[in-house]
Amino acid sequence: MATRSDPIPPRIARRLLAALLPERNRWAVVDELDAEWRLVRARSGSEWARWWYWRQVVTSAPAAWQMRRRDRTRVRDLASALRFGAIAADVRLAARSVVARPGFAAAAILTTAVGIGANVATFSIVDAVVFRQLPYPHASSLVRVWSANPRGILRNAVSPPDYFDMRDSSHEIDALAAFTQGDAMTLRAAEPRRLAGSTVTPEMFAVLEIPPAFGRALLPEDAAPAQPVVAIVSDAFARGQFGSPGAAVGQTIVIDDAPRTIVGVMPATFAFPSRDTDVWLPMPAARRQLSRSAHYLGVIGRLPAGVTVERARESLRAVASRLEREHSDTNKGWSVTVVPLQEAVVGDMRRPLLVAFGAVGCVLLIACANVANLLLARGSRRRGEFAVRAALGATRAHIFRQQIVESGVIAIAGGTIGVLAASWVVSVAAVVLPASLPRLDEIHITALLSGWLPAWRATRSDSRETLRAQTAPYRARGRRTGGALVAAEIAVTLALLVTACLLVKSLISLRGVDPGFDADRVVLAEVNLSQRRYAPDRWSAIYDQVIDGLSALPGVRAVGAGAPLPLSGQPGLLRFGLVIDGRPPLAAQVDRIYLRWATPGYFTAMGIPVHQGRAFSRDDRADSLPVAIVDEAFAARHFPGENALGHRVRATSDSTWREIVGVVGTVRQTSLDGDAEPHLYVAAAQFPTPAITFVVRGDGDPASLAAGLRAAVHSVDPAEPVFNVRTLRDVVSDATTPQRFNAAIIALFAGCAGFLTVLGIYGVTSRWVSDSTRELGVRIALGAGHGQILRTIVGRGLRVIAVGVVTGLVLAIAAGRLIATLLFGVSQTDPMVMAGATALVVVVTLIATLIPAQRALSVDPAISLRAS
Amino acid sequence: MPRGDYLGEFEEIVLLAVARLDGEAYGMTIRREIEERTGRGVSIGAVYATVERLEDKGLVAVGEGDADPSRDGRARRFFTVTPAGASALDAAEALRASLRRGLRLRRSSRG
Repeated sequence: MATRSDPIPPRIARRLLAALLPERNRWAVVDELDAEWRLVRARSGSEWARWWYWRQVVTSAPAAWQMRRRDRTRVRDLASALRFGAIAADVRLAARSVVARPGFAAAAILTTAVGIGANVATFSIVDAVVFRQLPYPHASSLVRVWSANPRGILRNAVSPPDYFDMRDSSHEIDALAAFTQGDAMTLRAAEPRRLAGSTVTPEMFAVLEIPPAFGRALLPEDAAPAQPVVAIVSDAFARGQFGSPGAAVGQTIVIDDAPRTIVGVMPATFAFPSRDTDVWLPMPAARRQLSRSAHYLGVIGRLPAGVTVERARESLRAVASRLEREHSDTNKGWSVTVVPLQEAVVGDMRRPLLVAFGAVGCVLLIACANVANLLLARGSRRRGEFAVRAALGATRAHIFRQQIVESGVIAIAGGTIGVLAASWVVSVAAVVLPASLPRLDEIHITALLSGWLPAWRATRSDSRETLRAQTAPYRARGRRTGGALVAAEIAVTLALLVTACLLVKSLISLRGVDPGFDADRVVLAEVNLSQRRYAPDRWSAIYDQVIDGLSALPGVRAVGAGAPLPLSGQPGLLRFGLVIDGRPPLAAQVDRIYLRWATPGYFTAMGIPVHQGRAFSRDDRADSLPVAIVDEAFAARHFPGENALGHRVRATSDSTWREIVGVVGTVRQTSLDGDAEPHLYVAAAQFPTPAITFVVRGDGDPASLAAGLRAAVHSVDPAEPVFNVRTLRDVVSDATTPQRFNAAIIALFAGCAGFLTVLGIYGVTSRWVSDSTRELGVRIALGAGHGQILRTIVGRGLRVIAVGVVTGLVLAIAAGRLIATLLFGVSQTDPMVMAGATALVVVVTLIATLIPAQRALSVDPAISLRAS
Repeated sequence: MPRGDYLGEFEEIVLLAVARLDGEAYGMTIRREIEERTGRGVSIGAVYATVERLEDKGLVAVGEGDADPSRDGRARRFFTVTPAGASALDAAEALRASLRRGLRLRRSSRG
């Protein structure tokens, strides 16, 4: 039985072949090809097999078509054979007439291809990310649960005791599972490496309804010991370490110094909570005893049939209000948020993707308008031909059918090129798109038919229009239709251009945000010390040793270490309640602060200014006065108008009072566009942490600094892996990836739209000129000057442009409202952007009208009059 | 049968492959056999189209194997050479031999 995880042959190629083959042997042939594909794949790998399969399909196409023809001749139905012959003749005729006017054909096919390609690609992406069901059985009954914090953060992580209480007392939810994401774990082996781990409650696998491919899922007893001894690993990890997933079950691995027995291997398709997760460890049930103020769990649940999200929400809110009463010190004001898992996963990407979808729809509209214009223009040029054919006995239906077939040939050619281009774009997109885009790996072309269909429709309806246009007194009418289509194109292009410029401008202002540190010429590297080999009181000494080694390197200006680094998305971005000595406790859980570790050199190395007091020094040791440093956001919130220095503070998770000895500049820790949050820095020597990032500022090139960094850590302990070596500049630039993606994609569509619009206005003006040859000839013969002729032609163009621009600005304002939430530091109706985009559109479209208008000047009155 | 008396070159190759495979001749195995023996790339479509033509000429018979769960329960089709097919192969061979008999081909010797 074929299972879902079995590899399948290239889908598009397979469908293509099936479509080409006649009914009688369709599956016989496809099955044979599939069978051989599996052999090829096993022998030569999937890349080669893919290529092989495509080649087989392409080279089989003529034979498949031949078999289909034989199919037809076997049918002794004369009438149908005749009709088929007539259409075949039309196709031949259409192909010939398309080839006879390669310019027209190329323009129409290219336009269709751009429109269709952009749409199929975008639709495939949007479909995979937003619309398609998550890859879990009965995914619609899965929900994500958050704590809602009293400061208005509705999606806050859940504390372990709150989770256990919710799990045990909610009757409306079948099962509730908790997990942590992106835990840094270190695999201790001959070659130590870092793992992306997730700590989960045993319910996880039952909630998602995905059992391991090998071995077993976690059981409640796995979570019983304080230090669980089992693990579940990913397919990729099992293959990497043990050669095959089956061989991994029963093996023992050492994670963070504790041996764990692998009891299960997940299927390769399993990607929860994230695609890169290597290992799932059971969450000890004893975490129920931890503090309710440490919020760090993600929670998902499965609703039983018939229970709505609202009912689940009510039931969990009831639990939350009970907890609020019972634990008013920690839970006052806290509630819960329950959202369908699909919505939670797609989250923030929904709007940008839907905007992209809208933009690409505009590109398709423009493409359709252009093809319509081209066909109209062509219809008017071919009046003579139609007249001759009618005279020779062709009925209106004949001519009509031929037109449809011609449009069809163009639609199919354009659609095919578009779909092929889109499949290429989608495969590139999987590499280029930000990894933060959820469900990235599920994207593939889904829109084979949806690609051809609009192409067909687009070209079909106008052929009818064309025919009407050429039988009626068509000229003025056709001109008006053409003008209106182009005005619409200009409007849509302008709206897209404004949107793109707004996004680009907000990206620029986002990059202009001062992150609070100096990101240039800084290299970072992380370590995660073995807690078995080093007691916590030795950690700081090891950091000092590495830092001393690094300071001695040539070209190094400053060295420090800290954790977690700003904008790095590193785990451990925990927020804590705050207690200030001599003041009543702050409203429980309301005023949260971020806790950061730092060594003496950290602030200098990061380029964070010390505004008041001092930075940490080597004299701040475990046995000296506990000290802390706060940032300006902290000082402004808790000590407005007074001196923060000398006050004693502590985080609610910490029992030691620490004296504030310095105030440093505010740093954007979590995102560039959010407000700066208060931070409290503690000295790594006084509050040991096993995970830290070294920060090296130097003049040399980053690569040699990175090499020096590895060497320095190795000289202290060769068994400690150094990971995530990167520049601080990269960290900052990664923080703007989603914005870059939005701006790039809309700019790309605006570019497509602009290109098509220029083609469109050029085409329409050319047609005016060629239609008015006689009129122009008469006027030139009567003594009209070049200026007058130009004014006539350009004047017509200008009217169209004016209508387009005004409509476009209205559209742009409407679109601005749609993307308001994606903008940063720029108004939706930024006058500079509006004016600039308008000017650009006007200039470019004017040039497109001037070129054919120029041709009108060269009209020879004698020839033009004779021609009529 | 105006043209059916002679086997086309590719028809002959396919028919020979079916004969060689002796009961194991499926679309895929025929294709592989030809590719391996002749060293030239062949598409599955061409193989199938030719086998169908041979079937129409009565030179090849089609049979169906058991339903195969990996093909959504579809049976796999296999091909065998009919007695007429065997004689057609013999006739082709004989025809060629009779044309060739007593013929001396001159070749310019190359250094």
